[in-house]
Amino acid sequence: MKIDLKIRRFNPTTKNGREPYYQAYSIEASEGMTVLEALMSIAAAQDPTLSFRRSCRSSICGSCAIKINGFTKLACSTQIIPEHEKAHEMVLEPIANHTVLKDLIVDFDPFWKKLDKVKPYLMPPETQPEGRTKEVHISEKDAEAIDHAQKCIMCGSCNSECNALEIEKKYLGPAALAKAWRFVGDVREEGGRKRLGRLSDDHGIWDCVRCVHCVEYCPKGVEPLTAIERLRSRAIQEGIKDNHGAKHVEAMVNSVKKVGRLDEAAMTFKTLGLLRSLGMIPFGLKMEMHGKMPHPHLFPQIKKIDEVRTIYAEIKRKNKNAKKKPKG
Amino acid sequence: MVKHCSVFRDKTELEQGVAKMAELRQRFKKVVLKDRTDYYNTELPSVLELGNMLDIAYSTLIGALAREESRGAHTRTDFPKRNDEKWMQHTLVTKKDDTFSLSYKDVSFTKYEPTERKY
Ligand code: SF4
Ligand code: SF4
Ligand code: FES
Repeated sequence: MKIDLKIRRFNPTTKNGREPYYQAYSIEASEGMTVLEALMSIAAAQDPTLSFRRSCRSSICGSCAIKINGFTKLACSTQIIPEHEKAHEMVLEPIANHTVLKDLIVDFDPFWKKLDKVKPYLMPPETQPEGRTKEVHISEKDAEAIDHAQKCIMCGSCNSECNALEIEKKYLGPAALAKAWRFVGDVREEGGRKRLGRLSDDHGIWDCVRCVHCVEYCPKGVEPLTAIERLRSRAIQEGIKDNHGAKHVEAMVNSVKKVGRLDEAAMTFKTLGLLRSLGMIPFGLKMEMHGKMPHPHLFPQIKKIDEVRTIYAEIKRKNKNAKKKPKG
Repeated sequence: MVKHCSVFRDKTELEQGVAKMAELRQRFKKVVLKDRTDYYNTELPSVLELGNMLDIAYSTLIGALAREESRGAHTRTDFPKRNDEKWMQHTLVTKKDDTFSLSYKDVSFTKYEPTERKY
């Protein structure tokens, strides 16, 4: 079956390649052929100047993430014929949120630097805690809590599709935070509190806008968002609350407790404080102009507020009962 | 290599393989790079890899042709028996000025003596 492809080309060192452009290719696809095999056949038989990363060809090395018809996927685990049938086209581009170096190759340095930042290694206690022998027994449950985060192959698909990273390049991003949880959530880890403090700083766990893209696009089922949520609740449990994110959560909890719904205007104030809230006035006016400003005075306390408060009391009671070990 | 030097191999297949591989190695001498840039040139490493692969394949073939016995994944259908007396040796291939030569080295045993597989 003949398939036409359009591949985004870019080579800053040549005169013709300085401006990115799309080049058309055509291949004879056989059943089961992957997008990566198509790329390799083009490089071998048609155009050896076409550059892309690959190694294992079996979705384990994490080298070959690219955008296929607009969505980040592993080229080696995507079959070309069904993909073409779905989209009626085959457009291949480098992943987003990374600087393109050449053709489908992007700069991964920021990715590795962010990973370094979360110190991706176990920090066990320097001296053995009392009662602990050489071996630490890890229960199935302990392992399960971090198992998803261990499956990461560092392909960068999540970072490519992350909405928070798109607007804030300094954000640590889903891949690094999934790795952070892998260690914070490890029962052998000692530096957890310190880590959580650092992760709660600007451009850490609270930058995520919970768009769920990282979960959706991860080829390995890592669920970085799950990791981020676990890190957030751990941070709050550890009392690390002096940051916008934790304050926002508290304001939300209190607002629902008080009026049974989100009082968004009041929340801005509680999250940002007086001075910074004043800075939000122009933004608020713009929202007003577009009819998007919430009007708290128009929405008084809901009628069945008692029911909401019962839920809160119940949660409190449960938490008290379960005051053994905080879980993820 | 799949045809001439799979797990089951014999003299005829191997000899043909050696001849074909020698020819491929000659052809490789005329290989050209189409991508002449020096920035993320991914054609260059693939050409270097190809040259190395041809050398390794040739070494494997001549080693297998010389080893007239069967051992592990080297199953010579024309020499189905394992022969420890003659072949308890490592094959060493040396490439010098584009010619390959074979030499052998004794296997040193420590704790476990190798015995024939019985399954
Ligand atoms: S859920 Fe958070 S981390 Fe994941 S892609 Fe969205 S913003 Fe990024
Ligand atoms: S979390 Fe998933 S998508 Fe992100 S780098 Fe790891 S394997 Fe890739
Ligand atoms: S080539 Fe290794 S993950 Fe695709």
